[in-house]
Amino acid sequence: MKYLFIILLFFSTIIFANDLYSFHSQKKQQQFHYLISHFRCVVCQDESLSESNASIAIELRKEIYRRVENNQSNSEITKYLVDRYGNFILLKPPFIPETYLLWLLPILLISTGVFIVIKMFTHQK
Amino acid sequence: MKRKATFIFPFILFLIIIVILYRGLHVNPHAIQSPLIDKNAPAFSAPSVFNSKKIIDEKIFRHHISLLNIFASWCIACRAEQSALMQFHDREPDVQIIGLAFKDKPDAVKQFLKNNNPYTAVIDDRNGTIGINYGVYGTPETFIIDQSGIIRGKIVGPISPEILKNELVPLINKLLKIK
Repeated sequence: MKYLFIILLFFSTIIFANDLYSFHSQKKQQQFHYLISHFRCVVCQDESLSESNASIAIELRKEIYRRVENNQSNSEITKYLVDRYGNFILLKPPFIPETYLLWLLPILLISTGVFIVIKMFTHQK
Repeated sequence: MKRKATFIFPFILFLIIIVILYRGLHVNPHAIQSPLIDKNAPAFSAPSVFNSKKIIDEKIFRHHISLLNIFASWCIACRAEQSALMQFHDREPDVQIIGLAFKDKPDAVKQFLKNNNPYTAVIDDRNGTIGINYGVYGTPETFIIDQSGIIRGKIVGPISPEILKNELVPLINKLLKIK
């Protein structure tokens, strides 16, 4: 029993944030769930709003809930949050000049690796 | 010679990545400038903590340089900040300090400010919606707003005597000169 409890503790970090909210339709519930898993908890290290229990994450979830229930679209809600918290609130960084390096470096590295391997093989021949 | 070049190139690339990653160690991901800087202070309308019939809105920022200090009685860092704010108030009496009581009960705020009250007015934001509208991460945070209601700066965390001297006062002096 003791061990079962300890094992269960490892699974306790997942918080189902939307359990507290009631929605007018299932579509809105899905929209809410989609949104809170795509925004960052701004005070946490790499956690989405859906996973975080930080005070600001709770407030942001409430704000998103209010806006979803007021029939706002995903892009309207995203704009509202980005205008106030910057691109940092997006878990997936947008493709803009500041993030070119972030997005393009893996491609550059892989192609360099492929290039070197091809070179080595052709040299051996 | 050609073979050498194929190995030197990835080595240089490796060094560049090391430099970039090393620099990343010293970057604070939370020290991001607020996107609200150089924009109009977001509109709001809420009662005063001291008089629930008195409604305060963003027009309060007109004609004065203002500090909008987001605080709460439950926030320990805010307690430490109060003395710096009092000091600032004595030093720059023309700058109004507006408080935003973020997610707090008016009675608790009144009790908190009983002995030290640096604020010209305190806005009741018990639901935290005004704070969210200002892109607040937590308490305390302070916005510097100019005479035409435009946000000119933001300080995240408590105002220490060093921040007061090195950041706040120079910015206020700059804004006073523009006037």
